[in-house]
Amino acid sequence: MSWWPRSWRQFWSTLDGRTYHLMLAARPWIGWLAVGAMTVVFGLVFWWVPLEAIQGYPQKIFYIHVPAAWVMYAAFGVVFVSSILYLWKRTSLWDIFARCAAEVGFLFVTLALVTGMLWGKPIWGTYWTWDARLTSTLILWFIYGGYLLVRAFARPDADVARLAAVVGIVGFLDVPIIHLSVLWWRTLHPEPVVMILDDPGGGLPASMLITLLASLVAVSLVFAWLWIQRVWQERTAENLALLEALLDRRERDAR
Amino acid sequence: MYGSRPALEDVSFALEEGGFLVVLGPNGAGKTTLLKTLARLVRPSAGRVWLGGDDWLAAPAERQREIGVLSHATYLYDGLTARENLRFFATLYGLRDPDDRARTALATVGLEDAADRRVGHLSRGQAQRVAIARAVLHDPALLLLDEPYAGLDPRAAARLSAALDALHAAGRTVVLTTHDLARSPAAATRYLVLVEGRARSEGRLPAGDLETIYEDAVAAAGG
Amino acid sequence: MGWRAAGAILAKDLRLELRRVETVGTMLVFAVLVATMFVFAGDPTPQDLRRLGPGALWVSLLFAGAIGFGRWFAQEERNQALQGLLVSPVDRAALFAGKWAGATVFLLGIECALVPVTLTMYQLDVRGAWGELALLLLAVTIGYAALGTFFAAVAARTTAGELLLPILLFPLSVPLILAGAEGGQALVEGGRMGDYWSWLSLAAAFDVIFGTVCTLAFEYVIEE
Repeated sequence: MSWWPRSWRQFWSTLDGRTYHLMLAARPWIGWLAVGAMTVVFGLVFWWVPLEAIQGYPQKIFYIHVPAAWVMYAAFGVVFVSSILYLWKRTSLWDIFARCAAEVGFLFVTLALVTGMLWGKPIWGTYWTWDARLTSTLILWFIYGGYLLVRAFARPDADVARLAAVVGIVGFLDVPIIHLSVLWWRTLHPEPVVMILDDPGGGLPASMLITLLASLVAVSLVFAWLWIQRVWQERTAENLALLEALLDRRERDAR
Repeated sequence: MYGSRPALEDVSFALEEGGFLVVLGPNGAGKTTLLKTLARLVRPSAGRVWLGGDDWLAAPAERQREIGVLSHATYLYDGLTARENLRFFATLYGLRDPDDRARTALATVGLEDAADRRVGHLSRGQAQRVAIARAVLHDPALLLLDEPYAGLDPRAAARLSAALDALHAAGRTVVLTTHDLARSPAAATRYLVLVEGRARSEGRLPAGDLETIYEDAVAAAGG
Repeated sequence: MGWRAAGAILAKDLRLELRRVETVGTMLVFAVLVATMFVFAGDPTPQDLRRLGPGALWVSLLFAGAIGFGRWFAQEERNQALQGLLVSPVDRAALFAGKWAGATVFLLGIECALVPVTLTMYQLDVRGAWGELALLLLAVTIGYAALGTFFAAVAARTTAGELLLPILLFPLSVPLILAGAEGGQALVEGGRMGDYWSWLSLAAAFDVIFGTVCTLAFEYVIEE
């Protein structure tokens, strides 16, 4: 099969297969890349980047927390796109992409939540505060959870993939609105403590910016590796089940 | 597909217009799935259905009015009276003068006196009659019946058979599934035996001893 | 054709509910009870009451709705009535619109009683802004009814349906709760009409977006 698609229709129909092959090809490399990148970032965070004046050591959680937050949105974005494509093309690969992205994404939203709380304790003296960022993250955690629960509890005769795809799409569309409403809510009733340095654009010194960007890349690579691993596992399991079914049938026909 | 197991595999048959097909098979054979596919309640993962020369699965939703469906569930609202149920479905199908249609349908199934009783208070046989009325309210050309005899006493079953024969005689095409051979209607013109999701046997009726054909087909699959 | 069908479904639901006012009545009692529980939970001062009030109203409605949506959908499951609707030529979107409209009407009906009760319990004074309050109620209810009807259908296809419905529904309804509570708060405090209109617009935008999305996506949930 030549690589370049012959038409738009062929492009969309073979996109899942092409993506999967790309993922398989990247699989041996991406793990090592991720390890390497994380090592570099570790070095940067603990030996290169200067200590932040006001917050001191705990501020370094920022270099994990922000990338984790970025990944949790990106992962949900993958779920969204894969869900739409599943509803359109109805191939199993799109569903595999979606559910694996949701599983791994759930890890990262939990990570973002926990690192947010751990950062808060030394800074504000409390593990939890209802500021816009933490609150929105918590809601996103629930939405992820809901998606996974729907998959877990779907009736056997219901089309799980289709159901989950719809939930994923509606959930994703709500996320920006939730964000906006929580932000407005917080501006009306401002929290006494404000999380400083949580906006990477606003006046971060160069060294911190570089470290943050490096960490973003590294954490994204970790997500990508985990996602590819899960997709590969699921696809292989599916192929195995198909083979078994085929063998079963041959057996029955032979009788 | 039911979970990861196919409910139906490799099933093909043809039915002429005005014919009466009886689909036989033990429980779990896939009869209900077949009927749901014909009713377009379920989309098959593979396969085609032709209705009068047209690709049925690709047809617009509007054409659902060409079929009438009767199941062992009545599809009725217990909290509404028989008349209100029929009026509702008449409106849903866009029929002109829903009151009149409801009244006529009730008369046809002989339930005028029970018309204003709530369906929840009717006996199973009576509810089934309202369900029949609902199924043919819009005068469909094709009738799909899924185990309609389930839970009916002999008198109600006889009445149902008579009604089905009459509907068939009026020129409608009928597909009926059942696992109870004793209650398959006399007017059937073809039969199809399904076991474990596959078509085992099919042919024209009358066809010698249907019971033996059925037992053989089931035995052949079971071994 | 679609509109007539949706209207017929709405009429059918209304008739069924009015005949045995069990669901709406029970929901109302439950909602008032929840509003009461808040007071026991916090022992608020009159000042606290006025701050909590708008929020308590919406939370009560939230919980009552979670119960109601499941039940309104469950009546389509009895006798497999839903299948009867699906084999008819009715458009899936019209089917959703009918159920959505029904849920909205029922919730609004509950609010007619719930709002005066809550206003009294929490010593809230709307300062004559009844029209604005009604508008806010309408906007939030329409959106909540859309999400609720939609996810009731989703949850019906799971084995833990009654538990999953709130889990799915509540997080996604947060913008509506905030709009209702904050908008209501603005009216109670008086002089914050700018805030009120912002929140109302948010709720209205939410209704438009999710009304459309849910109507379009409904057929994917419903088809087997």
